[in-house]
Amino acid sequence: MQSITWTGRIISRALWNGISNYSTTTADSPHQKKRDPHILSVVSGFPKELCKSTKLRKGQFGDDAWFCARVKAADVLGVADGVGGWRNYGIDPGEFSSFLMKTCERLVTSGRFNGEPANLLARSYNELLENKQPVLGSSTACVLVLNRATSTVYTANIGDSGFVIVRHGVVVHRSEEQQHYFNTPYQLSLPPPDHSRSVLSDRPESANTTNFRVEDGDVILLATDGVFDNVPDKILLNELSRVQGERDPVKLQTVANSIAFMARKLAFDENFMSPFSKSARSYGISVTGGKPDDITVLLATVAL
Amino acid sequence: MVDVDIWEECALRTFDGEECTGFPQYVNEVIDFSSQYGSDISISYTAYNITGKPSKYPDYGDFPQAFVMRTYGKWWYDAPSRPEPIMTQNFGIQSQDYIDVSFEQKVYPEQVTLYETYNPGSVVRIWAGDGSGKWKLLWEGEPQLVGHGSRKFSPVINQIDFMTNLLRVEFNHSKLDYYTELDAILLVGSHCNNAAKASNNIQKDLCKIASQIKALNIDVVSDYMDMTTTLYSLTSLAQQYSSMLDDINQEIELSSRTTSGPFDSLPDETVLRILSNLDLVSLCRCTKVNKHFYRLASDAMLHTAINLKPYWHSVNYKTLEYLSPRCKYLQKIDLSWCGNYGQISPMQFISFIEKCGKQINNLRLDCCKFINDDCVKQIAVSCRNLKELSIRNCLKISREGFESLASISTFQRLDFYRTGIEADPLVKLLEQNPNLQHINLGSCVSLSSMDTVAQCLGAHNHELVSVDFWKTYSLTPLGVKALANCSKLEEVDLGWCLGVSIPGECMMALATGCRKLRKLFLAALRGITDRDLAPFMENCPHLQQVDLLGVRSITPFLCLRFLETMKELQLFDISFCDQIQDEVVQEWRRCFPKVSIKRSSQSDGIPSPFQHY
Repeated sequence: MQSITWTGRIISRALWNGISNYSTTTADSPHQKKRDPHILSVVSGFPKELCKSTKLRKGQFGDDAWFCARVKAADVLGVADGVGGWRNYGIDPGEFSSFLMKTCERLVTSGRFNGEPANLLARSYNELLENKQPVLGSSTACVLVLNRATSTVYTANIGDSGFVIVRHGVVVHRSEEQQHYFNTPYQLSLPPPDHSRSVLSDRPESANTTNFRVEDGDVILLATDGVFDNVPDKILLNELSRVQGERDPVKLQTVANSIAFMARKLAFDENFMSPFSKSARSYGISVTGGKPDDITVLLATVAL
Repeated sequence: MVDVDIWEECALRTFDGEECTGFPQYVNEVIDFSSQYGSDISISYTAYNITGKPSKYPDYGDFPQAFVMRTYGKWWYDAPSRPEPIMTQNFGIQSQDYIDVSFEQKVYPEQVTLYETYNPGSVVRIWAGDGSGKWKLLWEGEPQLVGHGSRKFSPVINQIDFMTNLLRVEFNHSKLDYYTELDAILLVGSHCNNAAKASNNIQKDLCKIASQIKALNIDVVSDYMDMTTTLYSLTSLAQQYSSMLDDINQEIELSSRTTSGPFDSLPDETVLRILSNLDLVSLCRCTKVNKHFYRLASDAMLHTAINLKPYWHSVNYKTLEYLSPRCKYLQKIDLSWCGNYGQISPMQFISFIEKCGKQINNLRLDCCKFINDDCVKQIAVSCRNLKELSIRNCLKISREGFESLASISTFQRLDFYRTGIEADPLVKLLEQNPNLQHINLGSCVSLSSMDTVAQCLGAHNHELVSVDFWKTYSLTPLGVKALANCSKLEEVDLGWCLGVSIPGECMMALATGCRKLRKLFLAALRGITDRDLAPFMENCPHLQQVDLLGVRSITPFLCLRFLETMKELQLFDISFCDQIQDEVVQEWRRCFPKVSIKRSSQSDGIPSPFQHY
């Protein structure tokens, strides 16, 4: 009985997301008519603790945060995963990641963005330091930029969030995971001053940067580790291939929802040999099952 | 007859122009400003945030997305670093800060709306400029205290006769409780001249009246008019006219012979003493009275201290040319805010300084965009007795210019806020000036080794009374320790020196080294703890202003002890100190009514009774 109400809630959440994102994408449609190279993007996701988080905040799923911004020269997407360990110190991990993403969005839309995603992350991190209200915590982050003039995707990635670019059923480009040791990704952090010596803190400059020339119809998935740790690559690839060249935001949203839903289901499946458990075993840690985590899926197709 | 013309015109006119409706524009670009809370390497709390649509309104509170200035209230005027006012006899509403903003399209302004999202009421003037130095006042008013709540401020503005896309807003925040914050500025205007429209309306009215008069048929001469009486009245008028002419001629002759009336019997010194109470504009008007007044009102002794800042909107190179013959003994001059948009060229300033610079002690050139290396070099050559140099926001001065200043060794006050000064020339300058008392290096982002600067201050400048290191990121505890050698220090502003985040022993050193401290700003030094602040309670009994904004780990226990021990405390800013609850602050405000306890807040857009719509 309980499972039914659960699923019901999950589906309604997914729908909620679907509707909200559908409306934003349609609002942008005059832009698309110009036939500038652009990205058509939708969002879906779940917070880890569904029952506790009574309020859904825009741009956030639990401790995960995301943003999509569009300016004349570029489309910019980003995800960040707040490191949950800070909860024990009385710090809301979602605040850091959400501030980081919101500031990225503000920097992009206010025209203070030079097209370099790593620079964007660094500047956004700097704004954290400049805030009167101390925002503490740490977060992984991944930012992807489509430069319209060159039809090239520029990316910057810190930690274990990441992206996959799929063309006709083949992964043509993907991010590398940055890890200090198992389950401890690289992270941007602002620890409480009294802890600063004992905390892992990576400079924004340590971001892994790549660039890749995209083609019309390419599918881009930008997601937090909640997706990559739970959904096996094969299944993911299968889902992504379904939306090759998709221009209908509703269909795109359906697939995004299904990836998020799948990740959610597998995360709570105790008997499933998830990519996370496989990786743990390679480190000699014996675990089975998924990894319950916040899930954020940003799914996009390239239209040149 | 004239009337006929009007009637004809009335018949021809169609009175168009009704389609000219104003359209709204938000700020496109910030052209210039005098101060900002944030730093140039960031966007939080900077002037830039005033561009575009309102991002926070109607939310009320202290948000990084707004434009915030450096000061509020009377605190900076009560601090040890307060500059001595020049020419206090200038009247009118004083303004302390300004921002120049531009919009995409030039319009005849109809309405200007300011979105104030925190502590509203500081706007005192709104100007419209043509971009080449001509300014017209749109609105002026006293600073207000309007209470808490965001507001849209939209005063009734004057009509102007040119199209503009440049506005200047002037602020006076002396009445405010805390920092004011602005979200956006909306300019509504149209492409057609409303003043012309208004005159069009007058024309319309005139036509109406004319037609009414015509209906009365008064231009028709009646058949039975008494011609004899009419002619007689005309001749008597002619006789009166000739006698009136005689009167006027006599009057003119008399006035050219008389001098200044009772002023003649006073000795020159007394008249000069009286004239010295006049502001600059009145003084200039006096020179137009007669030769006697001209001689007295342009006396060099009346022109030893000149403040042109309140007249920035009408000062140009001609002003300098006009004043220079009178400035033989010029000692103090404030040219701040003047000469921008091409009104004074570097060459014109240089020739003024050459002529009148020899005796200058105090030179203030804040926000003078024309000041470049050549100007600074000329200052270094001509003003050999310079005690004060204030060049806030003068961004054109490079290393070369600053280096030339090292030839002066009489400095007591240097204000380099938001300039591009680097450490090497600064160190040379400091070594040359052992009598330096005040230095402001706030927001100087090119200072890459503040520790060297602080060490130099500690070694050479023992007369130092105030230092402002606001937002200089390269300062570390090492530099603060060196600064503690300056035992006469009364004011230390280390706000946002993020390099001092983990202070170690340096606060202890500062407290024991500088026992005269009256003002201590430690905003956003996140690592400051109770342990770092305790020494100030023991060693610095005269502390009056303390800013601990965003210092996360200080406890209510310490704050209470601070309030109890520091008997002279007046300002205590504990905004964003996470461990202190609002209720406790309320309690403290009751118990310590003499202390102004600041507590910044953020709230979402609940309409307040103070909102103006």
